[in-house]
Amino acid sequence: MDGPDLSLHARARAVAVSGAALGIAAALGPFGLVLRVNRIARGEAVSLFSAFGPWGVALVACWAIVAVLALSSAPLRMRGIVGSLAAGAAPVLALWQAGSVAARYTLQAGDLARVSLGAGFWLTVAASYIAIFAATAWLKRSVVRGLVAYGPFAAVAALLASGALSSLGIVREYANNAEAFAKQMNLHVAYVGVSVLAGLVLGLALGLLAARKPATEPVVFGALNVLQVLPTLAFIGLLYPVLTDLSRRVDLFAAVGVHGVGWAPVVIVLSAYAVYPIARNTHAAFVSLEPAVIDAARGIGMGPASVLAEVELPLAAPVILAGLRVALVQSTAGAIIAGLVGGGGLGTFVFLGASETASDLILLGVLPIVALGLAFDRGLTAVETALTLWREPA
Amino acid sequence: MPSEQTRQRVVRWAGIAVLGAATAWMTLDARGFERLLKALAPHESSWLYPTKPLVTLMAEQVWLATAASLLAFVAGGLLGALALTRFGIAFRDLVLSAASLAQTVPTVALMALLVPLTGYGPEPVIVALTLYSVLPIALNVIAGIESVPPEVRDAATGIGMGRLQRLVRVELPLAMPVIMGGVKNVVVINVSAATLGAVVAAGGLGMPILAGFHDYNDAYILEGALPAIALALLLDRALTVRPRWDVR
Repeated sequence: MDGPDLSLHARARAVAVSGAALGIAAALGPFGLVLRVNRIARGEAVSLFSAFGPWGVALVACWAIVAVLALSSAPLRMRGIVGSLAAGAAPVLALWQAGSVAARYTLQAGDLARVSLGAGFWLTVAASYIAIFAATAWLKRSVVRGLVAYGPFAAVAALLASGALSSLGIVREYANNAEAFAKQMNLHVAYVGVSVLAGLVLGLALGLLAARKPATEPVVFGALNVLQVLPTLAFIGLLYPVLTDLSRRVDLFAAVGVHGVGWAPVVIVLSAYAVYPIARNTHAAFVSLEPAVIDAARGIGMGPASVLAEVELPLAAPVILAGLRVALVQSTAGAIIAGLVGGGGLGTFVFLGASETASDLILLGVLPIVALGLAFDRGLTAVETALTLWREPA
Repeated sequence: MPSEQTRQRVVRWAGIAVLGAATAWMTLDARGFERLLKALAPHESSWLYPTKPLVTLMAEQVWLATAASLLAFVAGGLLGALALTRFGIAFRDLVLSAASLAQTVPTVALMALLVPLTGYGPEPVIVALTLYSVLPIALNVIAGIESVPPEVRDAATGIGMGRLQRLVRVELPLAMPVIMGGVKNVVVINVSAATLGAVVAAGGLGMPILAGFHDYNDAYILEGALPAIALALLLDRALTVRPRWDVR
């Protein structure tokens, strides 16, 4: 291996340039924005470049800056900062311009008209992700990296708050559904919270059991593996007759709303899926603990309970947290199914949108799911890193 | 320990045989399966989903998963191999990062979003499942080839193998368990997720399940759910290279 750091910077060039190339292709490609005379009509597709007029040139210029900087021999710090700012500016500019195209189009074509973000816009977002991913490799300070990587999110929030996007299709779907949106969002988060909590309790217990009593390991993981493999819809289908029967026989279940459809099967299915990653990581963490450390703790007179609570769990925590992170991301995406079986949540918008081919309504459900998943993923990754650093001071 | 290993192998193959027989029986013996559904849901007045016979639904399910998996093997294999070349190595970390990012997008949402481009039917499902599987395949190809010990690689070069020859004759065979692990996951996930294709009218075993939810008919739901579960478990067992708890 030749000078790893230097070659890493050189390699980032290729990635940044391909990000810029994708960005330019997306700006010139036909499906940048989709204009419709009403929310479910077949749309007329326009390229971002032609829709934005002079700002289209600015969009392409952003990508040109990224490409030229990547190929230049400018100082790494400058390449990193300016490159990622230009890459981050491109989708923000596109979104802002899409907002003003939407405002003009609705004025001209009437209030029923819709402007949706097309494939070209989403490819611009992907290009920005690729280019920023490459450009931040040129930056040493993680604070600067964080600022340039998350800056575009702040800019989008500002655009939303300013009202510049209020004519855009997805924002109008939100405005029409604001009350329902808050309710379904809360419900979605509740599904994730309850099922991951149940998964955490069961996963810790089963993972610990498998680590302490190796004879139980094949049984525990064999059973969890079966649950993991069941298709979501078929799993809910299998529960349907059982839960329907239970709610008929036991009044208490019926009173709290346990039915074949609704929240009950969703919570059961999501909890079952959440157990596996947590149990697997708990088991892996506990079997890899140094016996010497535990012996030492026992040697200074600690009982089994305090060894577990004060030595073993803290040492295993980062690995268990990684499992918890997987479970959280999975449940956030998985809870979409509740919308299909009368359980509510953000999936409601997705399935309603799917039946009407209203992409903006689908996105109103999907984007918050993706944002939540990302927030859980990044948030817990930060906690894992912090825990690991705190345990092993460099 | 050989007797323990033999025992595990016998249990594994017995499981595969039972699941395979159950899947085939439910799919092929419509009358017999209807009798089972009648026993499970005696209060219904109709037990088999009327629109399509189960054998067609099963064929659609298998076709959706097979088409998506094959496309993903080719694309993911190429992407993984590309990410290991001198030029492509720069994209390695990007593939890793994008693969974890893709987890946050629900499969069925991607299917629904593709409908304006592809129309309703099998196309959005095949495209969505393929897009989903490409990165995990690439990831396993990268992880598998990187797991080959450097000594082995050096030895291969030492006896005069070229890069391509080393890849085909040494690295790929050694990486196979890891790659096959990824292949198994992708196939099992695809055959499971294909059930959701019913949402965009792609056919498959999800059709009777959704119809059952719609009409409150337990029998339709079970008609789709039982074979879907048997098929997923069968593939999971059949494609397992080694039992999970065997690997230390």
